[in-house]
Amino acid sequence: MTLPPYEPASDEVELFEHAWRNRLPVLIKGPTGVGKTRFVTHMAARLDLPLFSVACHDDLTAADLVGRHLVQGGQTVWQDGPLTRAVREGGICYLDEVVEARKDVTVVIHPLADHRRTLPLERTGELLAAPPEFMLVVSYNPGYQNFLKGLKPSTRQRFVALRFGFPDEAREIRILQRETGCDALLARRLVALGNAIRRLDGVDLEEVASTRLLVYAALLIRSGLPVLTACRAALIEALSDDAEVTAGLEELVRTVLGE
Amino acid sequence: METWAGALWDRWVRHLAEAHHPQAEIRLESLRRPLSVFFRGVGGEAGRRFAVAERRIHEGRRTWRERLAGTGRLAELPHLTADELRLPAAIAHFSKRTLNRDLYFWLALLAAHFVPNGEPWWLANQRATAVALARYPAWQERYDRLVAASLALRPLPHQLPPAEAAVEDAIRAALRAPGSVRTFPVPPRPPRPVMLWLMPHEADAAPARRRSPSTAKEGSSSSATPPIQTEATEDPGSQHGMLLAFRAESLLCWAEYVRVDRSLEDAEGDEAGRAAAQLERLTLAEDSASVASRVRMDLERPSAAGADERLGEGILLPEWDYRRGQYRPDHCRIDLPRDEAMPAPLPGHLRPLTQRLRAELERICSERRPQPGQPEGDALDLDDWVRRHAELRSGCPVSAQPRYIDTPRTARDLSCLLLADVSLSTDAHADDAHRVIDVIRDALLVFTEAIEAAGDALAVAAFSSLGHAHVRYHRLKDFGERNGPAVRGRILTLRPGDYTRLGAAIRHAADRLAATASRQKLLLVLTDGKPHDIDHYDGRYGIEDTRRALFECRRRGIRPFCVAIDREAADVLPYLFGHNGHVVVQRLGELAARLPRLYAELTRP
Ligand SMILES: Nc1ncnc2c1ncn2[C@@H]1O[C@H](COP(=O)(O)OP(=O)(O)OP(=O)(O)O)[C@@H](O)[C@H]1O
Ligand SMILES: [Mg+2]
Repeated sequence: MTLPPYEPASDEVELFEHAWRNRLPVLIKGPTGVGKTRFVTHMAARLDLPLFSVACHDDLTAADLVGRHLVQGGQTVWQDGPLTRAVREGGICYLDEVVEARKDVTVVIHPLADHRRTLPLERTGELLAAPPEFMLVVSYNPGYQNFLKGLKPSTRQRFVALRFGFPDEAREIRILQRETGCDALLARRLVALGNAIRRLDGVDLEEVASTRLLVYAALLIRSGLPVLTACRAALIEALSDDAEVTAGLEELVRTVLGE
Repeated sequence: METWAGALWDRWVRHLAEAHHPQAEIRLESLRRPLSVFFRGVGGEAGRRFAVAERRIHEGRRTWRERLAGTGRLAELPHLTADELRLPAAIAHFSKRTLNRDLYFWLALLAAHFVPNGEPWWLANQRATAVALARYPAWQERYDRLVAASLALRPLPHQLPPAEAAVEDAIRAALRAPGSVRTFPVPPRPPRPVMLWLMPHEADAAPARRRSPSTAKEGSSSSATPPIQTEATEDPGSQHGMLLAFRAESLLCWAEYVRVDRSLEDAEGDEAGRAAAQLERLTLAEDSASVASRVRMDLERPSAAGADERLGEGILLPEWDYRRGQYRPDHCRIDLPRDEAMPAPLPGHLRPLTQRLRAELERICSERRPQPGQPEGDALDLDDWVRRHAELRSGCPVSAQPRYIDTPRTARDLSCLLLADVSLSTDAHADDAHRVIDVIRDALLVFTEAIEAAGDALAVAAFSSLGHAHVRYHRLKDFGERNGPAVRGRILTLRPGDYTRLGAAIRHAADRLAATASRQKLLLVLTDGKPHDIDHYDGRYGIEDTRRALFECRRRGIRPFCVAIDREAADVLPYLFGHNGHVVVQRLGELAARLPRLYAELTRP
């Protein structure tokens, strides 16, 4: 089985392995598209563990994670949710954007994320003890301005925390080249563009260009689209709806990448 | 017949002379926002504003066409000041729109790399050009096109007297190969302005002179004519800098280094000099009537500008000094005048609008969200029912009590403070019939009535200032005070004040908001422009202080939002309030209707 490529920033791979060995849950925070999901996928493959990913949203309830009874041909059957499966099979359960989930989700997370490592299934009356291989990983993006949402300290303090930021220049160039097979010059210029756009953070743009968007742009350019067309579609329009801001961004593209 | 021919001739010659192509004209107004996005992206300082360069008489050599037509003496020269990049209001030099547009972006790119470190202008411009092109090689082609087009508009060296020809040759060489011209002939008269370069500015020349004694020589001649030197400056820094011109790497390091350094230089800026220079600029600017009245005000009350008079009792607030990177404690005093006014009814012309808006707000703000799983409600929760049914059949003990979907009125727990700028500039006319202050008054009246319908806690205040010791904060309606004739009376008697010390007003408003118990707190700032006050509270200083005050707000859980009624302010608003933190109201007549609707959108459940 091939490892999904992951370009480390520093010693996060080691840290994750230590956390896993010591049965500690991990919290990853960082802006969108900087490799959080990729990292977890990579680590799961590296540790040879099954991965159960859940993208959280504001209608996600505890039942969606734990499981529920279903009616099937006159019979009722219990179906495990992803969290329960991860516990039973001994794998990684990854809750992406955990702050988005409903409040009752934290109730099922808490006993799993501390020394108890248990998951009570109220509906079936079971109490599952997590095997040593099981690991809980959650992520969230602290950049979003949600006043009402945020992790409660009692939740936060159950996790070992990792911060992901935009990769530095050399690392991002390596990522682009490996992900898209583009040449070094294009990778370097796209990264310069990414960094130019990142200077606009919070002033002109709410979210700035992620590595993911640079990967998209590189893929489109490599497959033969003109630079400006590719960047407009992959970067500019993805970042802003304001015509005046996009006009300025277009000039940045022309300045950094040429026509 | 003769006069007709004469007029035609005249038009033709003028047309030629100004190299004016109205059909290809690009206006700064249309590019302000894109330019500032671009400028920040290529590394320009985030706090710098884009402003219109005033027209100045230049003594430079005019082309034969211009002399023929008697034009070409007035020019809007692009230049940097301590906190602004001033660009011409419009560019129409070239017959192609793309070229005129490119020139704006070129000037922004150049400015982002320009380091006013006391070097003579011809050297500083070459350096900035070389650094910018080394960093962004993709620009080279566009730059070359601009050079070719602009050289075509310059006088030909062989048609000039020898001394001037030498200068013109040097300029041409410096444009074609930036970094190649290291000595500059003494011009017998100032050369014709170079449209691809930033011109030296008197306001900067003074502090520059003070900064480094070794460059005093060229600085001292700078007030009337651009500083010129016959040889490379004695300043060791710039000499070495130039030798590195074509090693991009070290050049970039150098540029980075100096950019950091610049803020330090600012710290020593001669404040009196800056104020004087600003006054001068205001007198020179020819566009707005209100500017003239501001200048008059300055002259009338010079004592108010007296720097650090000790503040006695009262509400004292700190102010952020970005140059020192620290607060000046107790620097501003808030006055709380409570002008008792005759109670008044709502003016008739506002009644239909008010009624319409009240109904609208009532509807929007009480919009409801369905909540499943409730013991009572309007509809059966089918999901829940299926689940229970399944559980019952599998033998789980579940209560048979059905659940419902309820859509309750969401309890709002919100306080809003509307803070309106009533500085003197609001005395200006919005259109033929109304002054800005009238429009603001109407908007405040309508807003107060309409928000009542939403049921949120509201306070309304207006502010103006005259120096740091006199920041007037008019409480028009306090939290908890009932809206009524007394409030309307106060709003109706509101008069334009003096200046806009935005930071202090925001800090005081934030204190009041923070004292409320609401979960959500909204600070709506209604202003016609930028931070500005007499005692050097202008430009970068005022902007940074305001930004800091807003930052404090957010940290205290207060959400600031700005409604601006002047497009001129549009480029600094994102820096102050963030991309999603402001709107610019284009047509003032719509303000009264727009404000409550905006409020509804901002606070939509
Ligand atoms: N360190 C890295 N190594 C390899 N690829 C990376 C790395 N960082 C980002 N990428 C690339 O960026 C893409 C997006 O990364 P990923 O999906 O992991 O982001 P994320 O942080 O999970 O974003 P979100 O918060 O939006 O889910 C990946 O598909 C990969 O191509
Ligand atoms: Mg992800």
